[in-house]
Amino acid sequence: MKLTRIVHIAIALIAFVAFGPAQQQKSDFEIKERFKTVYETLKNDIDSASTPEQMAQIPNRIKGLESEFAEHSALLGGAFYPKTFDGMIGELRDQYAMAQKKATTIQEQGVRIVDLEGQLALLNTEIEKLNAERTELLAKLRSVQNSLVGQREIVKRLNANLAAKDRLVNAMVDSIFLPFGKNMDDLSEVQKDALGKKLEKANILTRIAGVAQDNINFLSATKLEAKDYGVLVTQYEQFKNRWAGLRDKVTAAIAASNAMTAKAAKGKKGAVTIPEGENQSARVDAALAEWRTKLDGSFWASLMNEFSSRSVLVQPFNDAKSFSASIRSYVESAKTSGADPKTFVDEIWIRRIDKDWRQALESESMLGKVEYASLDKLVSHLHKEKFDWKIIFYIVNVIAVVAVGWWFLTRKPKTVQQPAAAAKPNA
Amino acid sequence: MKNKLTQHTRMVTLIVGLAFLLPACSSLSLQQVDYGWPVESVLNVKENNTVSEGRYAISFNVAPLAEKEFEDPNALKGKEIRLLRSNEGMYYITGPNFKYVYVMTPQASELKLRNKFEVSKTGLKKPALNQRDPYVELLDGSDLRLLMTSDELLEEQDLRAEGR
Repeated sequence: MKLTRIVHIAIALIAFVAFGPAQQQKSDFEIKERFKTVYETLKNDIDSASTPEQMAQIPNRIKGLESEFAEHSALLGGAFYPKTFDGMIGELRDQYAMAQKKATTIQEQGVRIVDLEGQLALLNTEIEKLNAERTELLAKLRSVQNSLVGQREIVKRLNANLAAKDRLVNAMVDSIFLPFGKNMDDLSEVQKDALGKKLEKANILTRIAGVAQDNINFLSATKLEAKDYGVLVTQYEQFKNRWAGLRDKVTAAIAASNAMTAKAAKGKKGAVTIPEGENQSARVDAALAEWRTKLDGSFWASLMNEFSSRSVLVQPFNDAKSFSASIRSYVESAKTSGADPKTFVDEIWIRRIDKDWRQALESESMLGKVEYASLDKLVSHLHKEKFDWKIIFYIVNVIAVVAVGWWFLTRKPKTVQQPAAAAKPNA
Repeated sequence: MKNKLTQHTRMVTLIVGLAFLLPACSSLSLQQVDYGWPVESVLNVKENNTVSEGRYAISFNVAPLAEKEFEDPNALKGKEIRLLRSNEGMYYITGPNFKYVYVMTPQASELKLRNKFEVSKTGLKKPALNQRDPYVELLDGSDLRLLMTSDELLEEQDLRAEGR
């Protein structure tokens, strides 16, 4: 027993000596926590370093961290298992290398960014011009003094104006996003902040919502013709798809910018106004939804008018589904009742729908190509089933004309030689 | 006579055989197990008097410990305790204001007190447990430093007093 105690004391003494007076009062937990704090701070600083001076300090700070904690590498390896001390330091170096690469890329793009800034200013001016023109055109359109031809001309110009504005806003968005690359996940918080600030400065979300709002106003103020809808539906779909691809990026960038603003404001006194990216995006969503409602309302009502104005009684419809059901029901009842579908087929389907409405109806946000083809086939069957005897009349006429023509061209002249012979004695 | 001898020999063989076989069947033991955690865990006591350690997946109720240390089962609610498992597998528990370090043996669904060391008359201020194989080290700021095994407490001054 005494021997065991002596052995224990000896081991304890070795342990005391081994850990030395300088290290004696250190808690392993504190070492771990301190390492974690310094490590996380360094990671964040690498991520947010934006100036060459800040970047230049990073390698020394990594080196300092490594040398300060190298003696505790085994302890830290255990504490942060499965990561190792060397692995964690390596991660910092990799992160720094990536940040440096990004910084270099941004510097290289500096000149291009200046160009793009100039382009942005130009686009801004162009958009303002288009806005003024749009206001003027809408006012003209609302006035009753214009002739029908004049109204059509205004609608055409207004439509072109809206399309041009949409293109310009789109170009503006591209100009802002271009220097930052396509993938938002690759951007640091500082870059996201810069992007968010640019988007806010250019009023991008307000402008996008403005494009939607202009289209809503246009639909409210205009009496459209069948052919107009093809272009309008395409414009709506393109806008919707672009916004779907843009929404999350813009919202994330503005949110990052808001977070940085809030962080910076924490230490300062006074209230800070924080722009609300999410709310602005929701405003675009709402405008887009209203645009769709207006477009649908106008579109299906005008299409319904094609039937009612020709006294063809079809079930009322107000969307793709009910339109499809209405046409199917009409065809079915025409087959069973034996009523003459001539007006429906010839005047409405062939001359109006297939000619002027087809482009809009075939778009995916309306009926879609497959469903349109299906309805077209159904109506064409109805057409064939009712045989038109006039065709026979036309064919017979054509055959008669051809026969007469052929007879006239192939008949032989009879009296050409006799007058020549009779003239000889007088010579 | 010969029959009796044979019967006797068989009996002896059976007893000797069983003596070798039975221990072999009864247990299998794996040696050189190291249960030690590299660093202590600092755990907050929840409202229901329990603590849980995520990495090593252990949780237990500390009400009996609070009762023993502070004579109040709820005394540790919202406070922190420090827990470290030694290489031999014992759990060392202490915390701020504790006068003792508790050495607990893990058993089926319980931690049983194996030993407790009085380490402070007035209560620890800023305790920390470190793994110092084969010991567990207790620090309390710069005031106190001692080494423990599950059975023994070795104070630095004791070692020095012995002229080491």
